[in-house]
Amino acid sequence: MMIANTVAKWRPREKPLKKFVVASAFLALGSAMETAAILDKDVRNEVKTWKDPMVVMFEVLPNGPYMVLEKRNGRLRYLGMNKMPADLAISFKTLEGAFLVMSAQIGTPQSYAEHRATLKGDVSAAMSLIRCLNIVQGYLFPKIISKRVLKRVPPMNLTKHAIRAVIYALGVPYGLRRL
Amino acid sequence: MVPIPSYYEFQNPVKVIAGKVAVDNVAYELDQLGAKRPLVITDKGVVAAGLLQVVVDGFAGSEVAIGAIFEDTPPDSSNHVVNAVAKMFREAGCDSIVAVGGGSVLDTAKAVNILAAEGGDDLLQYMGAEILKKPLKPFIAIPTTAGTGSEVTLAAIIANPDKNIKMAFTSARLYPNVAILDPRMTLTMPPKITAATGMDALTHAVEAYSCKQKNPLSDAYATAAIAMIRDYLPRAVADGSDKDARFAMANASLLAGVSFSNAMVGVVHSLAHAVGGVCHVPHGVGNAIFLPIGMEYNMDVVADIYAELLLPLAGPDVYLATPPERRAQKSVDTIKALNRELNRLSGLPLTLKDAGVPKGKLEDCAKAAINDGSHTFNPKELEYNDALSLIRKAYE
Repeated sequence: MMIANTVAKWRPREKPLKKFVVASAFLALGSAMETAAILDKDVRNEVKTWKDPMVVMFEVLPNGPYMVLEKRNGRLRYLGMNKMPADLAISFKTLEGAFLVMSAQIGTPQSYAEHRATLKGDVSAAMSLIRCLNIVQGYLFPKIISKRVLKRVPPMNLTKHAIRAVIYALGVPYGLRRL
Repeated sequence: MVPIPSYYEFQNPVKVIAGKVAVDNVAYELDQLGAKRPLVITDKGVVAAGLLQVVVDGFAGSEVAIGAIFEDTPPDSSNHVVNAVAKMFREAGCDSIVAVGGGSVLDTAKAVNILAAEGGDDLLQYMGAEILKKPLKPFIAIPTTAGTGSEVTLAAIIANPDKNIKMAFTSARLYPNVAILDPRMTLTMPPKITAATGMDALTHAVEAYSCKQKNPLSDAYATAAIAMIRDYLPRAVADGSDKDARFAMANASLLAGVSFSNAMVGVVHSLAHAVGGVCHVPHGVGNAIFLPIGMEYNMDVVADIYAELLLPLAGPDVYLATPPERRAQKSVDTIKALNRELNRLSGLPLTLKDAGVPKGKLEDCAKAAINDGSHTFNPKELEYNDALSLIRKAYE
């Protein structure tokens, strides 16, 4: 009887579209965070409590995409999509898990409950980051999506609508400079 | 219809040895794990109660010999203590850990195990969730309270006195290899500690059943724990020599531990951790005070889940006699009644004021609460004003 090892025939399938969606969402999120840290009082106050300098990285295991934020000299900047050592790292275990979150199929609270990501670093700093992310997601998503992915939708007023407009018109496009 | 989550994870790798003279298996179990020279971690209370001697007796005639004993674990263990004990582990040439004590001892042992395996002398660099990569040293947990359930959980909470917070470490690597429940180990707990640790176990089970990570497996453990606590906690508090009640509570605590280790906890634990870190309120006391308040806070989101809990909380007669639309509130009322009963039997504090929390510290507690990771899994969002309002409600 012939026994054949067929491993050479098999390769994992690439998922370029999902990778693109996650990378784009990371870019939007990073740029929006940078803008919100200037314009939104609550995000500004949260970032003030972070140590300085501090690097925050979102990553998708095993090899990206990545999103890096840095607080330096009091200012939060989106640094782009290159992996670097981080004080706080949120690592999605799989591309599929990251895609569920970044395409707003499940919210970040649900993603934690489903063990989709690991956290390296100070939990209290992570909680502050999560509060910022909740606010920024409130800006990025229309209410119909926010209601599904967030436990509480941040209330919007005229000022916040204006911030949203700035994030979309200027903040996110400005983030493209990091490509 | 029971909802099934679209995705969940569940682990329970701990071997449980429970019952008469169970502690005498400790040397055998270490040998099975390939260990020869354990570090025993405990505290002065356990030593004074004669429980350490019971454990040491288990090594008689064995090739496994205790390499070192640390007796001075404080009630709120800190990263400084952990670093020092890890140094003891290395200097004594130990290859395994046996923890004999309550939550602080068990959590200290888990944290020591991190440093023993990963190396280094700074626990802070290992903070986080699911990031430990190396297998840890063989570890046997022998709880002497009932309890934190730490003998079957993947979490360790260690105080950081420099930052005035409680640090959380969660990893599947932190599970003990073996948990030993021996009826002798909890017989000497004073009534107030019995009550507080029992309420800690109840809070674990209730929050695990109602938080975002709940799943059918954790639910089964949670409801079993709640029913056991309903029947045995007042008995154990009223008569500490009731061995059946003591052993049942040890089992209930373990069941609740498995449940919350796989479903996490919520707002009640965030608040309890906060008042524990800022004002040193014992963890079980904080949970007892905040459990009904946290449930009322979450009521508009998970009333249906709290209604289901009335069955294990109060029994089938009360459950059937209560109209469905009132069962959720009845669950809260049942817990309030239990708190009052435990207060009568043991002096368990009913308010933060009774627990010695200074009024001027409430804002600090609220800040600490929102920075605690537990409420991530709470069904309802918790912001600073919410936390402050709940803490004020619990004050008097």
